[in-house]
Amino acid sequence: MLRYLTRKIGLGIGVLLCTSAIAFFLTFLVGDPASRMAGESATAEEIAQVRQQYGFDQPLPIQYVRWLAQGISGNFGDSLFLKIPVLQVIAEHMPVTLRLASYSIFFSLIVGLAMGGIAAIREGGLIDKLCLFISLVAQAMPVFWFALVIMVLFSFTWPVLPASGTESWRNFVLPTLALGFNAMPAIIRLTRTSLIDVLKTDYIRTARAKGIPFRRVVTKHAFVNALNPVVSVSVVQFGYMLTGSIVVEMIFALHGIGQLAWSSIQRGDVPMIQAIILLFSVIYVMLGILSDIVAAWLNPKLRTAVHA
Amino acid sequence: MPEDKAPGSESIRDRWPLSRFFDSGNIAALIALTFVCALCVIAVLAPFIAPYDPYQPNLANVMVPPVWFGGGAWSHPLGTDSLGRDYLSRLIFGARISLLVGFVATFISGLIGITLGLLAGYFGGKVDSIVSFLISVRLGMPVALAALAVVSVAGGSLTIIVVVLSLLLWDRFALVARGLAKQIREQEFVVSAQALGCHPLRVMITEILPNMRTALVVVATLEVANAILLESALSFLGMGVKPPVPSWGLMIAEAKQDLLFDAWLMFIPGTALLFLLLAVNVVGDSVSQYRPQGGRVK
Repeated sequence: MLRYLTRKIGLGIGVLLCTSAIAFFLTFLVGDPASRMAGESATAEEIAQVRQQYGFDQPLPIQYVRWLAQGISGNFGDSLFLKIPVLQVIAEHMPVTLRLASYSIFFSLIVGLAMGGIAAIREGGLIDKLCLFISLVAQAMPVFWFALVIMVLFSFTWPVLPASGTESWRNFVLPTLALGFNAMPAIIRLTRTSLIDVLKTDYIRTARAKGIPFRRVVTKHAFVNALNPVVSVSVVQFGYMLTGSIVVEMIFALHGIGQLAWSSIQRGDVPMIQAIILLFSVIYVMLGILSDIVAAWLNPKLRTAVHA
Repeated sequence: MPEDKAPGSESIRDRWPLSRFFDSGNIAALIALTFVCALCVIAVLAPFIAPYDPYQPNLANVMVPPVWFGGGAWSHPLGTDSLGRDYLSRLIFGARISLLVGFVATFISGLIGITLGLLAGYFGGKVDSIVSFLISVRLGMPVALAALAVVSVAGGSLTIIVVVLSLLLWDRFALVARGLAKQIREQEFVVSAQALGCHPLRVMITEILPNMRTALVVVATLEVANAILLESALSFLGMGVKPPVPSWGLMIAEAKQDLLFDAWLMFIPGTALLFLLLAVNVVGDSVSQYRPQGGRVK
């Protein structure tokens, strides 16, 4: 297990080096940061001075190494637009996004597990078909459009929930619905196929043969085992929610990381964009490793399979 | 070519999904396929079908509601937008953008992903390690964010969007092609081809590739839907195709300002998008049921 872990983490670090390099060079295409920092009315000399002062005149690889070295010690520079440290801005915006993503994954897990479970028990029946149909629609639903639709329905036509803001939990209901609905189909389908497979195994037949009621067999024996793939997928889904929240945060005017990323891209705020892309890469890689660990922990067969 | 046998049997030769499609009698899938094809025809023939010029504003005739609302008229079946442009014509021309991005981006990303996956699965060893690493790097990149950043730099032209999406959506093709190539490489017909002295390239293209086509078609449908969704989201965020080009995502963004009183402006392009994505997903789902191997495509 330890060897498996070190291998995964080593690979993760390699991946992060590459994604950070891509994030760095990508945003340098955004335009000349020196002229942006100096302002629109700056003369050529002023721009040259800023360029020299911030080291933008040096070759890109050297700038990258310096950026990375400073980044590891927690310094990603100042936001070009807000003039305060990038990390501080990110820290201010993080809680809203984390809150939204947590609510959403919780919502889609509860609904997804329930629907997937019922569909599996009634395999081939009307409820099963209905659940599959719902998951198909949810999969095809564009998040941003769904967000607008529920906003029109529940904030304007039938005004029960606020359309924007972050004051209370009521502000999070619609965004959670929009984002959670998007992650649901994967969970429904996986729960369903996984539970159907488990229900066909010998130990479930044995349990039934012993005379344990079907309801108890499902809840006590089958569901726990069917959960393994669902857990590792929902870990990855959580990561996708963080980026998926860009449109949702924009529509419901939540001041989270997604909205910060979008406005930074519009303003050409290079240090901000670099740090956010890197942050998401770190989160993705870490969640990927976490998902592998959870899978290996739940299913010991995988631990050896990876070495082969 | 021998018939498909049960999973685990030696022959895993694969037929084109389309032929089985018509044998299966899956009505929902047939309707979905017809819908996608019809939309393709409409997109190609858009200039002949659309009743008006989608770019022509008519400020004397703005915000006409669709016919099923009071005040609507058959001269503009889906009404007109805030600039008086015929909404049906814009919807028809918008189909061009969605379908073009969906199919072209999937084609290019398919080329990249399948090539990498085939090489990794066939040769194994170092090649496999490199390709697997590339896939990990790609999966470690936040797609939506990277696409937004690049498009904001390079400007929102159709070509840029297609290129960006092609470079971002190849991972699933690579994963599936790699996994299947690894399995198929061990099959007898591949070993015999190698024993006959066939060049690796020939073995890959004429022996291995045709036997993974059903799985690849399934991945392709997923990616077409994915690319269409991403294009509409980018356009919605103002980082996609530029106005006045009628993209469905952009139409939804433009309708956002009239959300309170004219929500139909937002409902119409969104419904079109939903139906297109639904149809593509249904086609993919029904193809995935005919896979000869037990492997799951995710």
